Amino acid sequence: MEKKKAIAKIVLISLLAVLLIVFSIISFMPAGSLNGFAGFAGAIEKGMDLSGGIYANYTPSKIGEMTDEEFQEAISETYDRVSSLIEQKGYEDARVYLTSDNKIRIESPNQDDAASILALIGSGELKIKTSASEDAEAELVGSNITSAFAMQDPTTYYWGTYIGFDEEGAEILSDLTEGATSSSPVYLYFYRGDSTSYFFYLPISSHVTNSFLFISTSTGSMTSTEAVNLAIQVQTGSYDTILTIDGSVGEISPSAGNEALLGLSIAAGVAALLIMVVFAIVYREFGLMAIVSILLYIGAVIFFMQAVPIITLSSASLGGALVGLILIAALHFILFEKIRAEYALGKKLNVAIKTGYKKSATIISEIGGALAIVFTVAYFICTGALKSFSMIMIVCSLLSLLVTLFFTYHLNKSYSVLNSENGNRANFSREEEADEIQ
Amino acid sequence: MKSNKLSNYFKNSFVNYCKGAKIYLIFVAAILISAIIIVSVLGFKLGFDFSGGTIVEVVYGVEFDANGNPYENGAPYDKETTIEYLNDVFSEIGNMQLASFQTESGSFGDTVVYKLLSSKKPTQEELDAIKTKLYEKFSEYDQTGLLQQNYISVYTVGDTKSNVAVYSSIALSVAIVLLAIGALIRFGVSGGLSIFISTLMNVMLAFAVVLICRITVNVPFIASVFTIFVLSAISNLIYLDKVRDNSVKKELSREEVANLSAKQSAPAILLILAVSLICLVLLTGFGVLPIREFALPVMVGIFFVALSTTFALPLLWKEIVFKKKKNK
Repeated sequence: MEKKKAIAKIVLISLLAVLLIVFSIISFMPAGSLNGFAGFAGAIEKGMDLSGGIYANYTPSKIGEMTDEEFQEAISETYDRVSSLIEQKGYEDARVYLTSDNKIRIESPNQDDAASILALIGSGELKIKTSASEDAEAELVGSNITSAFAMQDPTTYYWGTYIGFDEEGAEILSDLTEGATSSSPVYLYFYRGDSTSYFFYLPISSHVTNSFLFISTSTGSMTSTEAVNLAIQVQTGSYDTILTIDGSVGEISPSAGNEALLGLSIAAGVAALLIMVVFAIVYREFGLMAIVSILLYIGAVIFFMQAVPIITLSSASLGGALVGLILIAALHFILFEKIRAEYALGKKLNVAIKTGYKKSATIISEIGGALAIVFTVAYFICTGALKSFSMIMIVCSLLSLLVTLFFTYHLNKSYSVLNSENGNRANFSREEEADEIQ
Repeated sequence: MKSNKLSNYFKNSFVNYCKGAKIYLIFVAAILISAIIIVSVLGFKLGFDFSGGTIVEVVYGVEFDANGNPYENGAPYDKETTIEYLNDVFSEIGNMQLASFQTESGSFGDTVVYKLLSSKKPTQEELDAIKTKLYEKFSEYDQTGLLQQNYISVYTVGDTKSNVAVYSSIALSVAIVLLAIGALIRFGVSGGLSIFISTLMNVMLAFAVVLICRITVNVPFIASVFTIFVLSAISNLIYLDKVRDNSVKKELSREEVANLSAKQSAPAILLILAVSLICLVLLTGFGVLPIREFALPVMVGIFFVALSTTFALPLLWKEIVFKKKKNK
């Protein structure tokens, strides 16, 4: 390879590394645009311990006549269903507590529609009326609902919401819809708590004799999101107790403290700097190639951490990022030590690099591959913050393989064109009896 | 120290790593037995994430008394005073440890939230006693008394339903088995079994030290166990790679291969673990309590990984031999 090509390669890869790092750190507002660029690091989703979130406390009240024992059981049932809902919504870091004064407390990261879900949970009982009038009585209530979920019709594949009713509810529904026809439909209006405006209405044009309704559109225009939202509205209005939110959804500060993120960023930066200094000291000029690779790796990891929606940075998942940093350093140590050993036997530097790569490619692939496979399996088993930890490890394992086996290889190959003989510049030395192999 | 000097040091050393392992294994057994005794007597020291605890909420900066009259000279107590009063009360109570401190902003005003751990969950009477102490403390400043009853809440919470510990244990077990299967395929039965035992031992040792030192077991601790698993995997695979290279030298006995591989892999392994240790020290220095709950067990784990990869793994590889049955 000519020297010019080698220099161009080194410059190109270095430029890519610098760009990734710069775009990870900086944020700016492009001229004439309403949307700013937040920087990859700034765009990483953060967990509640690092960025805080939202909370709500709910007071349950009895539905109808209930003994204290029945009420306790109903509260426990309600707590289970609320926990299940939060888990289904994928709020990995959220916590749902049942308190000693029989309240339910939810703490959640402020992501997606979390605030509206928390508000919905405490919006009161579901009431289904046949009139939009303020004075109308509820014909069906939340306690008549047995289940509600979004699904696709098995024949048309249209999205819709399935609502199941108990025996009493099915009977009431049948009575209400007895005279319904397409020219004279029966309207059902869905309300929550004491609200005077309905959140949904449904025209029914035939007699319903089943114990369920499948709410969809004849043209399939109901989206999966709309079906899910309707199901959540119905679910949260049909708990075994009536949940009323105490006040409103509020904000909660990070449990690790407001300065935790800054401290961790500094620690991570210093750790990365330390690793690069070690490479520079141990391998001198050759170590500079490792430094470029590590910078490229760090930029790529930060990019993927903000690009992959599952990843949430928290005190637990931060460990994954740290291990990723150690992993790339470890793979480079293995590689460079192999090259050093080959040089020590008497081979020229460019030959030592080539054979060192050949001999270390297997173990590097084994380490990176093993960790990627193991954490892929772990991802599907783990819950909460450890899911993020596993995903970060998958990203780091795969990126470390790519960087070490491709980018570092090209950097080292280019370096060997610029310095094919002088091992001292890389802090390499021959074994005592070894002569250079021509 | 230059890397080639480190390599030469190990190359010229006369340590029999396999024999040294016996002392190490006695040390391991002592730690594991101590941990079992401590767990049997004292139980686990679970954090708020796993066991729940006591939550204390105090609204501060309220500007009007119970009758709706504004306080003279502004709000009766600010955030700093609230924290000071809370700390005074809990230092008197004594048997509660602060798990986390947060602030909330909601419809009742700004609130200080303390999440507290205790060895035994307080009874309702004990909660009422805490409330009474808090009322007394805050009414020293604000004579109304009624106001605090609206704005001071003390209650306990149980653990959440996420079952993080259970699923994480399953994931870790599966991870160790998968790693062993991979090593079995690449390095043979000896390699697979020795990496399985070594990794399991490292993870259990870190857990045992956490139990002995009564470090709180929280979600960050589980992440630290996974980190120890990764460091152990990297170190063990580096060693087994050397074993694979040296096994082709027919003139060497099994013990000689094990010792030589330990000598050759020690510089790289120790360098990697030393750098990891320094990174963790930095993290501990710049981090907060949850980060320290993650970093401290990993630092302990690094120590055990270094020892087990240098001593125990060579012995295990040397001893685990499967001879093919000769066909008669």
